[in-house]
Amino acid sequence: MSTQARGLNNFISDLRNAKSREEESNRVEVELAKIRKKCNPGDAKLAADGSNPSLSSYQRKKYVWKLAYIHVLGYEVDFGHAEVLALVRSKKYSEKTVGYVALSLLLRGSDPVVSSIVETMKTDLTMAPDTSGKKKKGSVKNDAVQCLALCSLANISGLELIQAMHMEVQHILVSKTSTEQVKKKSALCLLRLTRTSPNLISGREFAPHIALLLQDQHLGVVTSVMSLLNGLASQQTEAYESLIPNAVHVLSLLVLKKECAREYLYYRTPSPWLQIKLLKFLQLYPNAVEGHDIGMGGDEHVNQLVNVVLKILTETDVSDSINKSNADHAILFEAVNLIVLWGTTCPVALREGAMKLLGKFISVREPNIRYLGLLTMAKLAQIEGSVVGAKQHQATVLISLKDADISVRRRALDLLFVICDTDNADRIVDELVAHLVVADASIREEMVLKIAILAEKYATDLRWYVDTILKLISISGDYVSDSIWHRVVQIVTNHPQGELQSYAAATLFVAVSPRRCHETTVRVAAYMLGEFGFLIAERPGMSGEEQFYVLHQHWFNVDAKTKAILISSFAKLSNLYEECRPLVAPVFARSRNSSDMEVQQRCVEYSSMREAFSPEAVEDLLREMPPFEDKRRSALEMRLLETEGENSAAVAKASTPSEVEQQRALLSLQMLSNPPMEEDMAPIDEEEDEQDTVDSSNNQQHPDGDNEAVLENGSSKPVVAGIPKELIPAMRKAFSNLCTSPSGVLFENSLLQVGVKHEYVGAQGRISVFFGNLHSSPLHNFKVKVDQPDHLRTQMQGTQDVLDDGESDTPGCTVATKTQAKLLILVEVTAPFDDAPSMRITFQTEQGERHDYPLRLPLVATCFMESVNLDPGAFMQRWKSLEGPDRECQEVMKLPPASEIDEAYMDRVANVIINGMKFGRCQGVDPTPWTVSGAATFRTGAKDLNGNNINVGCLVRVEANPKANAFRVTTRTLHPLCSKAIKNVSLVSIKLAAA
Amino acid sequence: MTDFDQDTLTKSKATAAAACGWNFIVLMSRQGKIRLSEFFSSYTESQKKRILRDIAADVLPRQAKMCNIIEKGEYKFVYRRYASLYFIVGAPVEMNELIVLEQIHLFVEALDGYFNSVCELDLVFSLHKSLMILFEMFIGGMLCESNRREVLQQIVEAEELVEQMTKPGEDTSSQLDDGLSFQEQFQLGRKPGARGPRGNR
Repeated sequence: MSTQARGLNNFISDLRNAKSREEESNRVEVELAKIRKKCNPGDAKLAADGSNPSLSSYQRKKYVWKLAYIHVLGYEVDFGHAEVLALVRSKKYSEKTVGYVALSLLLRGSDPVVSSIVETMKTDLTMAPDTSGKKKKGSVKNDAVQCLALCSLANISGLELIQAMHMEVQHILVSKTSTEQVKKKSALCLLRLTRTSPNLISGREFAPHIALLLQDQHLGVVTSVMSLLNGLASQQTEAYESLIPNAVHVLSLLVLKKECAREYLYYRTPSPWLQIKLLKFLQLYPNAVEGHDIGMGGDEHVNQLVNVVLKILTETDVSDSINKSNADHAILFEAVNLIVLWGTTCPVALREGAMKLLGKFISVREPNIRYLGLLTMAKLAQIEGSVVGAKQHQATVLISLKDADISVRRRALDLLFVICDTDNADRIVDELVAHLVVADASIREEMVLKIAILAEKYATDLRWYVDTILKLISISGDYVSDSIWHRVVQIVTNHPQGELQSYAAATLFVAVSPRRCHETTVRVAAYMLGEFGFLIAERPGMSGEEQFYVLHQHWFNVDAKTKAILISSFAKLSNLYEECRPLVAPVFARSRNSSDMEVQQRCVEYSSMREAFSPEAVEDLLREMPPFEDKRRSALEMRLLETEGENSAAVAKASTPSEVEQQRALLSLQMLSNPPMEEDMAPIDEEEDEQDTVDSSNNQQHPDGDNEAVLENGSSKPVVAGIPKELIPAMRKAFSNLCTSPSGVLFENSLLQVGVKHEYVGAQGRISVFFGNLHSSPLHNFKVKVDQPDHLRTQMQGTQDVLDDGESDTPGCTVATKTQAKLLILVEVTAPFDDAPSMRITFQTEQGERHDYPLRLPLVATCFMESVNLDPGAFMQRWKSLEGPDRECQEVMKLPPASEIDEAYMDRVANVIINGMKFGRCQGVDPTPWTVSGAATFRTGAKDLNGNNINVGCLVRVEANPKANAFRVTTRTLHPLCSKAIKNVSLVSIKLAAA
Repeated sequence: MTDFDQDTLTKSKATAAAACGWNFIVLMSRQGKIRLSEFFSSYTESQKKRILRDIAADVLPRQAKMCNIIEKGEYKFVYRRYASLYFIVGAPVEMNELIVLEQIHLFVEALDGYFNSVCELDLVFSLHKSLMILFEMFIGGMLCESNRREVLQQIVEAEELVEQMTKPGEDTSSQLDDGLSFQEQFQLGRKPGARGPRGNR
């Protein structure tokens, strides 16, 4: 043993003993420097091929081995290639073998140095086997060298080598004189070559050769040839279709007859490797069993194939040996994959059998089988009609969603996604949302995306969809991508039917009210309130101003992108509500110099808009956005496609529209194609002509930035006429007024007038609503739907058929011209509340125009007050006893600069508090004319445990500050809702009293 | 179904069938030391570094009861643990995971046969032998010969060939195959002769 041999061993020992990765890499650096010096000493002359001729054969091998060793440890080796090639060129087998192994490791076919070796490799490849009959050294040698060359060629591949040698490799493969060793290696080598440069081989000419090779007695050869066939057939599928019977034949020998040489049994299973390859090959031909019935004749090989698959399905057993079990299940899963690809052409018995098996697998403990069970079931469930079978396992899948193993969780999520449909969407989405709370970061983004898609796809009520997305944002807002919330905006915008838009606006108002909320919430809320805020502006506590405040409180905590959205919303708010203008103007003024381009531009444009355009044009500019174009693939689906690739089960699922979605699309389509709609829109769209001039700036408010879509859709507007925006301010005024006065007009336009008269005794009220037809023709299908909240006990009666009891087929009544329909509502309040019940009026004109007016009845908490007269002492005592955040409600309101607080104003305020809101004034506690204090009892019809009616004592204090031109309203009651309601009504009433 | 979908469907089937070879194999100790690595597909150095880092981060911390598959986008890690040594294979997504597991085992069995109860030290000190066995069994990452006896015979024949062709006294590559002495083995805490396989997991 030479001392140098120990050199390599010492080196290895050194590396083994290295305590850290750093120490190891230092040792490697030292060694690399040493070898570099040996290979290129500088003073010695190098040989023509760049190698150092002074190295002995032994040294050269040693250094190359060291380099190889360093390489397999994961370090980069970028020299010594010349020595490797010198070894390959050597005539000695011992050097050649080292050279070729090192070549496979250290070099790739694309390296330029490789070209110098082409001739050597070619000679080695084509070395004629010794046919002298004497099986001695020679033949073995040639054979061995050929193998070395083939193996290296396969490992390094490379275009130049392929060009030079693919013919030789083909020849070796089909040659009769090649040994089995050489054949199997050349088959795989050829496969590698065709993979690097496809279409090297013409399928039609080569298929017969393959057929012949498949009959080889040596199973190793057959296995290698099957690999080659799979590679070739995946490039030219049709060319090799004729080989299906051959493959089925080989497969049935292995499966049905268990005919297999002993050495190729792997834990008693006949060559699982070959079986898998055969099944993979058959998967290329999904139509192979089309029209086949079990036991009904047909092609012999098809029969055989079905039998083989059936046998694999039914006779795979659990085994004690993990290796046997793995091998058998590998075959089984491959057979199921084949069934999946056959799809609906596959005999039903096979599909059902497969589903049953998978159902078993997803509940076993063995993690690999469970993982693959989930994976494969997701594929199988996509076949038409198979999802029912998969849905039975929903509970089991949910368990796997909580597995400790991320791989298993991913698969469970994927499968849940696939089996989700309208029936179980509620449950699955809820479970997923619940799991999201504890899910780890690696899977959250995927979950959020999938939940968003499912919620959209299977929402029977779109309000649930909006709620779900809001939940997503609050649970893991950072993972809610822009495309998800853009989608919510699109959906809400595109579905003007029902109460979705007002629901979304109100929900987001509440969501954005807290001081702290996720920035995405602010974005969605800003957009929604800008668009649909007017639908909820009459609700107490949700006026335009309040909408501004809840949004603006986040102004300083958000980034420029969100600010830009906020600015657009502010512009819309200030356009709708006079009182918002003084609030919005300073915001714009401050941000005109913002360093962010977008923020700056929007501010400047919006604030100078009124000077630049006519009022109509401004109106138009700030009108709500038209519906979005429905794309074939939503942004969410595209995202899924990006992350999972084209052939994932989830992507296929996401791109097929669900039943609910189709219904929704159909509904929208019907409404769009309804001819009266266009006339309907005409009066509102008078300024349509000017749209062109302003459209470009209008577009930037689309969160999507999808400008073209907007332009194209500019003309398609919501299909049912709602309340025109121009009427909103007047309507809000009428509503506020009615809250504190016994009768008045709630709504009026050219068609309809709605009048209200209401009176109250204690907890009970009687409200009469009159609907007068002001039009020249009758109004048909006239229907009124009154919301019946939990806190009111309601009885209603009215003109026949006017009431909409919630069933869609009620025809409604007809209101003749210049006549009235009436509705009488008797209510009893049972609990404190802070909003007003909604009343929805729908009708159709003679011309077929459809109208839909969401209104609110002026039925607010203060209606049920009964005044209480307290002496100052008692008032102050109660006032103090009701301190605390739950009981007190306070708000400061700045008046618009135009109005002025004088004593006459204060009288009107006192009047509205006493007569309108039915509070007893407590004169003694108001030392100056600038305060008004009052007390009242809120009466409810609910009984306490002793059978007495429950009442809530209420105190209110209004303080004016004429200098600051502001009012402060403070209310204290035992119930937070009461405090809030009284404060809200007070504020609106005070504002109203200004005029 | 549209043309577009048909196209992608065919393509996906095609890749599924073509996927029968490993992209790479890495042998890593529990401590994160690499014992062997061979990349059959072409990767850049930085890609390789990333893969090796990912293996250390994703595979080593996993518990025994977890499954042996980790999805990594276009490929996946399929791994098997023998005593303190992990055999990690990078396989295309479409490849059958269980059969990869058994291919790993087949390789281990072949090593076992050659070294007569293989252990980590054999692999470390006779790396060239392990590599020859690897290349004999897997060509370009694809299983070439599953018959263990035939693989070993090839290796032995090649060794004989080297010895026959060298003059006495000249170096042979087997000289490099200088395993540990008995004493060294003992120092490393291994009982001489008791090198039984630790089995899977």
